Amino acid sequence: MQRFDPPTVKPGQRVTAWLFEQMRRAIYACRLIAGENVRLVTTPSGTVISFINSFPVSCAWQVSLQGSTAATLRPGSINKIEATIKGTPLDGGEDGKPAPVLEFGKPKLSKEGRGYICAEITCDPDDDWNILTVEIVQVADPDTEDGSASDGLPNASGGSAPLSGNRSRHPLAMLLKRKDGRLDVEQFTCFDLQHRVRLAADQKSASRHFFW
Amino acid sequence: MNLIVYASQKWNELAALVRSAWPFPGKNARLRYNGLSGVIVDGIAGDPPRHPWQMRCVFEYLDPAVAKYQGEGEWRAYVKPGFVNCRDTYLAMPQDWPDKPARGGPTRDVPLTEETPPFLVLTGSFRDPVASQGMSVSDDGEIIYGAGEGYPKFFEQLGVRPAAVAGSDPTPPSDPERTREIRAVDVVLDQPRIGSALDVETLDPLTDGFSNVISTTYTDAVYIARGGRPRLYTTAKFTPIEQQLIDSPFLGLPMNSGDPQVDERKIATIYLVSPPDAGSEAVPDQTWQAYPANEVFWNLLHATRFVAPAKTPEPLKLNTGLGLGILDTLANAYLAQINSGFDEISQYLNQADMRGKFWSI
Repeated sequence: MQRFDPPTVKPGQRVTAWLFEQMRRAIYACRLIAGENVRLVTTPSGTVISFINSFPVSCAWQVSLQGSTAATLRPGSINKIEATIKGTPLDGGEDGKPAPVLEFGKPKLSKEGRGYICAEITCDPDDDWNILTVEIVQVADPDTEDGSASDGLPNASGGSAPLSGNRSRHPLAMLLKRKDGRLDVEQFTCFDLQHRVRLAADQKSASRHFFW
Repeated sequence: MNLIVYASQKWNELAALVRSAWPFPGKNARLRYNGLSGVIVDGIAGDPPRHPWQMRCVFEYLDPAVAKYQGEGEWRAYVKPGFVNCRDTYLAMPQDWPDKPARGGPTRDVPLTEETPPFLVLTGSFRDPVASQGMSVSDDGEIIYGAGEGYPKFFEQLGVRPAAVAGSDPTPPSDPERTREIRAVDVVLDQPRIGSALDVETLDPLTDGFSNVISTTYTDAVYIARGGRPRLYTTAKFTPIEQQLIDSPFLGLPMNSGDPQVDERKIATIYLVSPPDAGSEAVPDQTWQAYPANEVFWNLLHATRFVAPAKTPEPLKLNTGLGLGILDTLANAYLAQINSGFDEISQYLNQADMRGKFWSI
């Protein structure tokens, strides 16, 4: 470790250019540099030292926004079927591709400024309603056919509504548009999921989908 | 002798550099300034991640113009947003809040995710877990006091006084080391849903083929009025609501004659502990300490036990035209008893039960 001690002078000694330079070096040598888990905010009146939370939180399905038009998700599965974005697994897959990005452009939001990142499943009714695919989508309402905002109240009976094509959606995270236009995300689901369908009275179509 | 003269600008730049190097404590940092010896920088253990429904309780003064520790104040709980079916959970706040910190009057629902976070007011809802719970009179005319509700064992170590014991004298054995008071309040989640009830209608057996019809009615009045919004509220002591009002409107059959159209779940109990020797009548103020005890740590899903309305059975009728139809009428009057019996049994066995369940996700 090279230490730069500030030079000292005797009474009456002139401060030469060399001394001045030594003092400058000593001051520079004392500058704080942010290391691991440390954040420094340098202001004209001083430097604020913060220690970043040493408990990083990460979970399945964790949504990270990229600006306000795209998001990435940590891997998650439903009935052990891996979720994908346009067919690419959330971890990029076995061939080492980069993690896919959900590009949703201008987010679909309700009139209250809420939107959802959902896992949209497609089931096979001929195979005991087993899941065929799990695709990540961004919608304004999980229970409408096209993901647009609904006019009425939310689903009153709970569970996820059945959609055409034997689909259904489970919300993973909520998007909130703030007053200043900023987009925030609130994580909802943090674990890999299980799924079962409840059949309608005809015993052929689905009446509700349940996730847990 | 040649003197090198530094411009004042250069010197001031140096001074600015030194000034900007002065350390201030930020998040999770503690600094100890030791004069010319330097500054000791300590890293404090980081906050653990906050979970949904986590409570942060603070005592806040109502009038900021009055000096602290003098004005009137109240205990409040700020809740880390939790979600039900991935929808916002709401608190009822005064209509003009936050522009005017009005108290009482009409309210509006504010989501927990609001940028200016809403809060639950705890003051005014406390119960005393150490106080005797009711009393009764024995056959001998002696007054018997109920035992106190008690509290988690953790608070014994903090020196909270023991709970009342059951008997003629509820005073627990005195412990000079345990003189702190404790108060508690419950935080409850309330989720509106569709409700159901069985109705009995009396008909004319000669024309309708039924003497009585039992039918299931569904109502979403509360669900619509509340906009389907789950809401948190405080209550001194949570008691699960009667999920169905059981009545016997017909032939002594216990039937669902209506339900409250909401499902409830206790989220947390918040305990407040006083300084020592506060006295049993003490009211929590800024000198007390809050200890939230959560029962729910994750977001929730909720669903009703949806039961499709049963199809009304077709009544059995005779239409033979014999005896100018008089025989049909008489026969139908007899069949009405059979029809009604079948309908009663059918509706009774299939009576809709819309009570819902919460589960974590």
